[in-house]
Amino acid sequence: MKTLCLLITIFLLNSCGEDTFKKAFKLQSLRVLAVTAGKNGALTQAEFDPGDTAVVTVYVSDVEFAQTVTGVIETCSDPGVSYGKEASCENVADRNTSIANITLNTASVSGRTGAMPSFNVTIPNTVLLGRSTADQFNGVNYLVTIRVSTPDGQAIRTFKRLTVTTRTTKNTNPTLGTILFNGNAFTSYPGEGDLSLSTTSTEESYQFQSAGGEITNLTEQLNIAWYISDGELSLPVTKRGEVTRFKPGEKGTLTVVAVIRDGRGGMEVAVKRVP
Amino acid sequence: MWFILLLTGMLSVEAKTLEGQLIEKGTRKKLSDVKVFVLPHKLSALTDVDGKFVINDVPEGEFQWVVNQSGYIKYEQTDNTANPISQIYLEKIAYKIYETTVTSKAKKRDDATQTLTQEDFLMMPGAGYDPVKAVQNLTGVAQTQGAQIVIQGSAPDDTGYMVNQHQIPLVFHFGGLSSVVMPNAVESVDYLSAGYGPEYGRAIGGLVGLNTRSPKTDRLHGLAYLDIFNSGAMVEGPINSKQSFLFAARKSYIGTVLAKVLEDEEGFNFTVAPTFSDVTGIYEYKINENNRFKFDVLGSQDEMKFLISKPVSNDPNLRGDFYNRTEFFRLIPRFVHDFDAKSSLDTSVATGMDRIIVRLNNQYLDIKAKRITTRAEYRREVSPRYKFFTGIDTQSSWNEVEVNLPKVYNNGGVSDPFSSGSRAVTKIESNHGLYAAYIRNEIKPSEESKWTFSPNLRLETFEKTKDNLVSPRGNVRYALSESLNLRLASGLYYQPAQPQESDKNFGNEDIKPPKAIHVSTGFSKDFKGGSSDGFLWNSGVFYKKLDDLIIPSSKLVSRNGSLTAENYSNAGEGRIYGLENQVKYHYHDYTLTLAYTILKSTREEPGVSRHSSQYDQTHNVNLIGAYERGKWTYSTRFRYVTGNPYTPVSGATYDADNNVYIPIRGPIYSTRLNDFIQLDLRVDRKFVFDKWLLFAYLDIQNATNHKNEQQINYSYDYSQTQATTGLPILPTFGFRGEF
Repeated sequence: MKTLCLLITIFLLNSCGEDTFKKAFKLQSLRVLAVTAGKNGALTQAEFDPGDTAVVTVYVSDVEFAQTVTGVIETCSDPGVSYGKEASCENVADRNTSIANITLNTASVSGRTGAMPSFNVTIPNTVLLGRSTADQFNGVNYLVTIRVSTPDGQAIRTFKRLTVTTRTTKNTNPTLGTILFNGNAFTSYPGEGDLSLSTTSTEESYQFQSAGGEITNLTEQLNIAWYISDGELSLPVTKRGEVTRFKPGEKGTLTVVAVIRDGRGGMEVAVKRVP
Repeated sequence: MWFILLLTGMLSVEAKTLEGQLIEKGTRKKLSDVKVFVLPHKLSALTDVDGKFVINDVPEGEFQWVVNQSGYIKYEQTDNTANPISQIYLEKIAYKIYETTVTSKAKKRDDATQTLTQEDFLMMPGAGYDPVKAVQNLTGVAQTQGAQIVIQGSAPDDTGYMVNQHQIPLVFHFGGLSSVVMPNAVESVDYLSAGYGPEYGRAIGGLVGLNTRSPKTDRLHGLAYLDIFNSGAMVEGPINSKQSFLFAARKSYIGTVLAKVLEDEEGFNFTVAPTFSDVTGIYEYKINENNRFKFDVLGSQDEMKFLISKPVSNDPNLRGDFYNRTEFFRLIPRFVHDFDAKSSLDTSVATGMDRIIVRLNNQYLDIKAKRITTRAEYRREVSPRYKFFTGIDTQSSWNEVEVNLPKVYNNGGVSDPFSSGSRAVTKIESNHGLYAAYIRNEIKPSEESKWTFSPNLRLETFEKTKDNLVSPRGNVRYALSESLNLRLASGLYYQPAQPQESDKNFGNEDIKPPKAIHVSTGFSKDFKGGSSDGFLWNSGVFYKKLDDLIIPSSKLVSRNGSLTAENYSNAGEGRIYGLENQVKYHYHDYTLTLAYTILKSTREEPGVSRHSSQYDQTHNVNLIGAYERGKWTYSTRFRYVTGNPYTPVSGATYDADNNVYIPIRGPIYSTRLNDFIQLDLRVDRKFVFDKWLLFAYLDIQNATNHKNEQQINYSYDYSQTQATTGLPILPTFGFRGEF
């Protein structure tokens, strides 16, 4: 209880603090925006069986410098990222470094933001071996780590969990339509107004098994992360159906990115460039 | 003719009898054994125990009342026998802050306990008249901004809290603004540090215990107060010659004040302003000379709800309705039986419930815990050379926990973002029992011996983790002279794991209780030589060795044939040592207290070399001064504390699934916040009316507006940092009335 009091105090302090930090929604230098994964042959499926092959795609942005982005990929069993281990395959026994590097020249894609070439990851058959029934049901992660970098020395380390589960109903990637301004499609630099999505999928229900074996029915929560290359946003993350208020900047060109996530590893990306 | 005129005159001056009562102005205290004069007739009478007096043969007509009593302003009042006043209110030369303060003697059994009586803590500057805040001014207690007492470099969770010797879940309301029991209902507060006795346990750092008092029996008393954060009232008095009662209640409106302050804060709206309230009820029945019954009712509630419309910087997904309610109540019947002058039995039971609800959108933690704690102690003075105290101390709880939260890794005080944790959803129903028995011995080799030896023992069982534990403890005292005492205390202490640490979903079912060995030694010297003015010096050193400390674990372990997350392990250890010095000086209307602690608190765990602990506050200086003059009291407190260590973040990895960055921690607790410096000023003024007293105060906290860093905040990718600072200059005022 005392720890709880401490957490609440810290949370309040965090919430009340007036910060001058750079904004998470602003696209400027090198950023990784999303890493999507789907089952090879059934790309909407976001969870996997042992032995499946996943198709993985990294979305990056380098609006200011428009450089070639290189990605170095490694895969391994999750060393325990949620429990405090560093998200790295470096000291993991089944580390796999055989996947070829990927590159994207951001100068050649619209809005200097886009998908790097997809690559395949084959999940070992042994991932679930020795794990508890609850872990196997809720999912054991196989980790994909990517180090993206640019020639000027910028570098970001990112990772994606490929969730391997015995669930019969696997999670699917959420979907999203096009990005709208004040509810309409737009082709020129907008004034002040609301950004939203034409369509999105709805929340899926799923089951969670506790260590004691009890099953709880849960519903996932869809969040949409917004990124812009110019101007301001009222909300960097919205819930499904919510809008975020855009205030224009001075650049005259705008890249808008929306990434929908279901909180269970499923995600999809939409990119819009005007004019 | 002359004779006739004289006789007529004599017959016309009839003698009167004046009856009245002498009462202290403001407090309505009946003043006994005071001489009341009637002038110029040179008549007088002495007041009885009720302050009443009778003066016979007062000639009719004008006269003058005169009362000249030491400690009081001389009373002179012209009156007339035709309609004389019946009550005389005598005003004191100097009033204390609270005249209704209960004066009691600190009852402590060993030198590891410091006890502040109501008189001590209500008069202590810088404590806001709060018993637990007063403890924060003592040596060994860390400076914290939150609702915690951190003792001698231990962790906050290593401190136990009690009311009337029974465990309570928390001792402070939100933010440490006020303790959970009305201060005026508290007789004393005990602060138990290194080497504390066998009566208590389950806290490897130390304990803080509040003891409620007996209601007053002389007449009906009342008190009400109002300040900018909260208000409250208390009433007490006799029911009949054997029974008495006290009832107190408080309610805060700090939330309304905060909501107003934060009205313009973009992205943050209180939908239910934070409030706290508490009630204290006490009934006492002195059955006869040998039997006493006391019944305490305590209740406390804290509640707040707010809407975070804009996400926090390093976790963009964290947004929505936040709700928190923490409440508990306890019913504590206590029966004391004196077998004879040398032996007694003290028995009490506390029953009650704790409830905690934390909710953020669809994520929640809901804890309901029914609790029964029992204590019974038999005391016997076998001979002038040998006394013993033996007793039991049990805690039983029936818990229902519903949780749907991510397990968030936190190490070195740096927490991974909430959104990155692995989810745990579960409903737990469990029963826990903690049972202990103890014996304390006090042995003197001879009646005149300067030595006192206390070999003590505590036996404990922690039912959930199936631990049976033996805790030998002891202390030695040597009275070198009447004014100089030397002491040595040591002991072994165990503490049950926190519920989440031993839970099979969130923690580790095989976790063991952490333990500590305490050693402390020191002296106390009274330089006053029987006078009320002069110095008192109390000094000592302490050492604590902490083992089997529970730390977060990122290992996978085999349990029931399956690999699973260990979550927590007993791989931590720690060492703490320090020197404490307290000097009190009193001279006429001036008091000055210096409390200075220097300590080193370190921790070690596998893969991480020995490092400072989070509460390694090397220097902790409290300088408190007060000056009383008539109806005015001026007080000040100056605090200097070395900045708390914190763990720097050296980088971060982007978690693409949750859209957050996970921090990469640098060397654990290798950097420090800036030093804490605070100057508080306070002025109190008392207004004395015939039948009641009014107090007004102006309190200025952080008068120099020093920006004290409280914690480090990070940008979304941990590439930028910014310190959150504590309270700015904060002037407050309030009023209190008593009768």
